[in-house]
Amino acid sequence: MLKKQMIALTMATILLLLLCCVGTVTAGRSVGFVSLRSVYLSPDASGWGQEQVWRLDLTDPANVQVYSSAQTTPVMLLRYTADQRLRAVTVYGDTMHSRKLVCSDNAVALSHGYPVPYDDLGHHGCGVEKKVTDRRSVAGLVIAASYTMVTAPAPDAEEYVSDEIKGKVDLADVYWINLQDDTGTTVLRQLWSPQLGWWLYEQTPQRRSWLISFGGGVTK
Amino acid sequence: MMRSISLLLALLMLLPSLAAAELIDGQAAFKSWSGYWWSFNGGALSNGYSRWTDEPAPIEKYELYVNGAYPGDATRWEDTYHYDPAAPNWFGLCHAWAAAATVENIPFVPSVIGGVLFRIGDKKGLITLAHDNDVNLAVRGTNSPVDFHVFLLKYLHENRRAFVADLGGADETWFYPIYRFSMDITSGSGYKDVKCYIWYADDRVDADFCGTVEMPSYFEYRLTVNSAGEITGGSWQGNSVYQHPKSLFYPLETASTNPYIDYETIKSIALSRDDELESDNPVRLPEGEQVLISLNDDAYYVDCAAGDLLSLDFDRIDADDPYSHIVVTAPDGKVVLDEYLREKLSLRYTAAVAGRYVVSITRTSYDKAGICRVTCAVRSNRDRCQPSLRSGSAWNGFALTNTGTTAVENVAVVACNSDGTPQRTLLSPRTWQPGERYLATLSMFPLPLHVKNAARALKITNGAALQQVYIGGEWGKNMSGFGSNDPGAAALVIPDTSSMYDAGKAVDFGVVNISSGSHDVIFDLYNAAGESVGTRTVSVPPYTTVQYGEGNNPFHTNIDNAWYLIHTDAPVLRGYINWRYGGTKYESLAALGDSATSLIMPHVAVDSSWNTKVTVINPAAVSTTVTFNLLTGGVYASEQLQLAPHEKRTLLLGGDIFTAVSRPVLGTTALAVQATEPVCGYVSYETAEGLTRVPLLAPRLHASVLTVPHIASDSYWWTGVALCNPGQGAVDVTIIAYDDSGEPIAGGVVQRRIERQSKDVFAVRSLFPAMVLDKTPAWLRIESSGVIAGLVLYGGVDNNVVTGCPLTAP
Repeated sequence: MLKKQMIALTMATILLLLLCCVGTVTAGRSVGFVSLRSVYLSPDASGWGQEQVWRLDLTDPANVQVYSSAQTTPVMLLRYTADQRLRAVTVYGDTMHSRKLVCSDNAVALSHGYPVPYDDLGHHGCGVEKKVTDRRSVAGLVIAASYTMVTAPAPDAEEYVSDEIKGKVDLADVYWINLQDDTGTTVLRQLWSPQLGWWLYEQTPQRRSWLISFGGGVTK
Repeated sequence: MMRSISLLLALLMLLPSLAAAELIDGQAAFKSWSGYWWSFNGGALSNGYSRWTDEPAPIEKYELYVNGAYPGDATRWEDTYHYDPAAPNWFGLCHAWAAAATVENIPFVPSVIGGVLFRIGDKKGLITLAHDNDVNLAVRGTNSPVDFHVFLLKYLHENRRAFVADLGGADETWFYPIYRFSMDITSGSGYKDVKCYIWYADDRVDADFCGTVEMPSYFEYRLTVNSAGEITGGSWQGNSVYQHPKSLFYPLETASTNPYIDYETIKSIALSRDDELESDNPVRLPEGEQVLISLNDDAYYVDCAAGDLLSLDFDRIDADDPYSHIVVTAPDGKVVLDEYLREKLSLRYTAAVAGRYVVSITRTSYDKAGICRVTCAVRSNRDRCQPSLRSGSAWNGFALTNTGTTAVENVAVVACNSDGTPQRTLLSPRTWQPGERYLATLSMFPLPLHVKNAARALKITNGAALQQVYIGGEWGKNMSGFGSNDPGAAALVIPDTSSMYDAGKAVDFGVVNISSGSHDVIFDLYNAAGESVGTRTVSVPPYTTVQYGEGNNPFHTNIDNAWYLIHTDAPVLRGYINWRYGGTKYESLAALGDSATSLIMPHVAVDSSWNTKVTVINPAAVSTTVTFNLLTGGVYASEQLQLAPHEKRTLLLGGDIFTAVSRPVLGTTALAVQATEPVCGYVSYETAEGLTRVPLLAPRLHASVLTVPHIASDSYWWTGVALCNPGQGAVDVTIIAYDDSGEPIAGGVVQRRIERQSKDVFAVRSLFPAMVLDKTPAWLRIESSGVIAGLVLYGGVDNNVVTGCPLTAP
C-alpha cells in the first residue's frame, strides 16, 4: 500500500513538474491577475462590436481591483468573502452602480448589464444542479430572480477559449455552468476549468467575455 | 364585544388581499433634448444637413476648427462608415443621440469659435457622434418588465437621471431618452399592477431644432411578488404586450467609433455660446468677415475718418424668423442704414463726418438666434497693401516701420482675399511710435488655420506713412518680397508674361484700384518686339484687386516674355507681378510705375556666384535710344541700343553688353540708364538657385535720406545694402542703426564716403565692426550730403534664398 502511495506520489510530482514545464496552470494558493476581453452587442443588436479589456488585480483576494485597459487607475473594487463570494461592488465615483450583496450557497450575483463581467455564480464542480436566486434592490424594493443552475461537461470548450490561453490550460475537465430562467432560457453561462479560480469564458445576452491572460496562478 | 373583535380580525385578515394604490414618479435633473438621428442614408454628418449643405458639414467644421482644413481623416471616416445611400431611413445614430441627450446637459445655441460657425445642428451632430460607441449598462432582449421597472426607479426616481430605451416597433430600432415617468401601482396578493406613463424626447426634428419635443407613452405590466414582498418576475399587460421597450441602456463612459475626434474638444464646441465679438457693451467691428450671432441686442462700432468709404455687407444665414433689424448710425446721429435683413444687405457710405459709426442688430424675439455674416471694410487712400502673399505651406513675414519722427495712429493690419476684400483683422488699430518697427509673421497671429491659408493679401489700414517690407517663402525654396509703398500711378508696367505651355515658368500679376471710385483700366499687351497683341478694358471697382495668371488674363492668351502697359485716367493704380521658375525660384516685384529718362541700378552683382541682368521696356509709342553707363568713380564703359516702340529687352551684363569688361571690374560698378524717351525696367540678380528682382530706380527714389526699413541679420540671414552716388561729387553718408522701439542704438552710427558716380555695398553685420552693439539693429536711416539711390537685399548664407527691394525716403 505504502509502495503504491509512493509510486502515485512520485507520478504526481513528475506530472506536476511536466505541467509546470509546459506552462500549464495548476491549482495552488498563489495569486495574481486575470485579463478579460469583453465584446458587447451593438445597441441595435445587429452584431458584436465594442471591445473592452479588463484587468483584475487578484493580489488581495478579498479586494479585487478592476482596471480598464485604457486606464491606470482602477475603475471598480470587487470585495469578496473569505470563501470568495462577491459581497460588494464599488464603482469608483459612481455610487449609482455600486451595490452590496448578500451571499449564500444558493445566491448568485449578476452584473445585470454592467460592462464589467463580475457575475458571481459561486464555485461548483461539474454535476451540480440547483435552484439559485439573484437579489438586487432598488427604491426599497427587492428584486429576487430565481434561476436553475445546471452544470455540464464542455466537449465544445476549444471553440470558446481565447487564442491567448489555448495551450496554457488543460481543457480535459472543463465544464459549463448554465443559469436558466423559469422558461429554461439560459441567461448566463460560464466555462470553468477545475484548475483555475476564474472562468475561461462567459456569455450573457449582451456580452461575451474571454479570459485572455493570467499571472501568478489563479486560485480556486 | 367578542363579535366586534372577530369582525376586526376578519377585516385585518382580509386586508392583504385588498388592493392598495401607490403613486411613484421620477424626473431627470434636466430634460433630454430632441435631436436628429443622423440617418446613414443621408450621411449628413459629412455631407451637411438641412438647408446648410453649402456650408461645411458638421464633421468638416470640426476638422476646420481643429486642423484648419477639411476633409481629413475624421471626415473620410464618416463618409466610409456613416454614409450609405442604400441604407433604410431609420438606420442611423439614434442610440448615440439618445445617449448624448441622456447625459449631456447642454444649452445649445449657435456659436462661432476659431472663426467657424457651429449651428445647433452641427453641435448636436458632433456630440451625438462622440457618443456612438459609449460603454453602457445595457439590458437587451428581455420580455420581462422587471428591468424596465428597475430602470425607472433606479435612474429617474432615485438618481434623477434619464436613460435610453428602444421604443421602436418589432422591425425597427428607435432609441429615445426617457426623462420622466409617473406610475400608479396597485398592489394585490402576490402581484403589483403598474400603469406607467413615460415621457421621452423625440428625434423627428430638424437638426437645428432647439429644445425638447415631448412624447408621452403608456405601459402597463404586472409584477409578481413573493411572500417576502420581493419582486420575482413580471409580465406586460394590455397593449404593452405588443409594444414595450425592447432594450434599455444607461451610458457609463463616452466613446466614439470615429477614432479621429476628441470628446473634450467637441464638448467645448457644444458648450460655446455666441460669436467671438460678444460683449455687453458696443464692441469694435473689425475689418474682415465675421459671423455674428444675435442672442440678445448687439451693438458694434466702426471708426471712420471723414472721406473713408465704409463698406458693410450683411448676409442672413439663419433660417428662423424674425428678421434681424440693422441700423447704422453716424456720429452726428444721422441714420445711414435702417433695414431688416431678409437675405442680403449692403452699405457703401462715404463717411461725411469722422467718428464712431454704430451698428446695432436687434430682433423682436430671441427665442431663436439670429445669424448673419458681415464683411466690414473701411478704405481710404491712406491705406497701403501687400497685394500678394505666398500661399499654402509658405511663411509670410512683414515689417512695418515708422521711419518718420511723428507717431502714426490707427494703423491696422488686415488679411484680405485675393480681390482685396478684408478677411480678418490681424492687428487691431494701434499707434506706431516714431522709429518703431513691427515685425510679424502670419503664423504669430491667433488665427484659425483656414483663415491664414486663405489670406492672399495684406491691407495696411492708414499705412501710407509707414515703410513696409514683405517677405514670403517656403523652406528650401527662394523667397519673394515687396518693399512697396508706392503712391498710385496712372500707368503701370507689368514687365513679363508666361505661357502655360512652359512648365518651367509661371507669371501671375495683379492690379489694384486704390481709389474710392471705379475706374476703367486699359490693358495693352505687347510682345517683346513691341508688337501689340491686343487691348482690353477692365472696370475695376473701388479698392479692389484684379488678379490674373496664365489662363485668365484679359486676353485669354498664352504668350511668353510679353508685357502689359496698364493705364487709366487717374493715378490710382498699383500692381505686382510674381514669377515662379521650376518650383524653386520665386520672386515678386511691384508693378513698374516710374518711367523716366534717367534710371539707376545701384549695384552690378557679378562674381563667381552672381550674375546680373537688366530688363528695359519702352512703354512709349516712339522709339528711344538707351545708353547704359557703368559707373565706378566715373563712367567706366558705355553702350547704347535702340528700343523700338513698346519693345522690351533683357540683357546679361558681361554677356549681352559690356562683354569687354572683365567680371571683377563689372562687380565694382553701378549702372546708370539714360534714354531719350522715358523707359522703365528692372534688374535681376541671380545665383544658382536664387533670384531677386529690383526695379531700376527712377528719380523719385533718389534722395538724400533713405531708410532700410527692416534688417534680418543672424547666423543664417544677411542683409545687404547697395548705395549709389550718381552725382559728380563725392558724398558723405551717415548710417544710423535703430532698434525696434525706434531708439538709436548706442555705437550704431557709422560714417562712410561714396565717391562720385560710385557705389558702396555692405552687409549690415559688417557695418559696425569696431563697435559693440547691445542690440540687433532693426532698421537703418541713411543720411547723405547729396542725392543717392539704394537697394536692400535679404538672403540666406548660401545666397540661394534671396529677395530685395529699393530704398525709399522716410
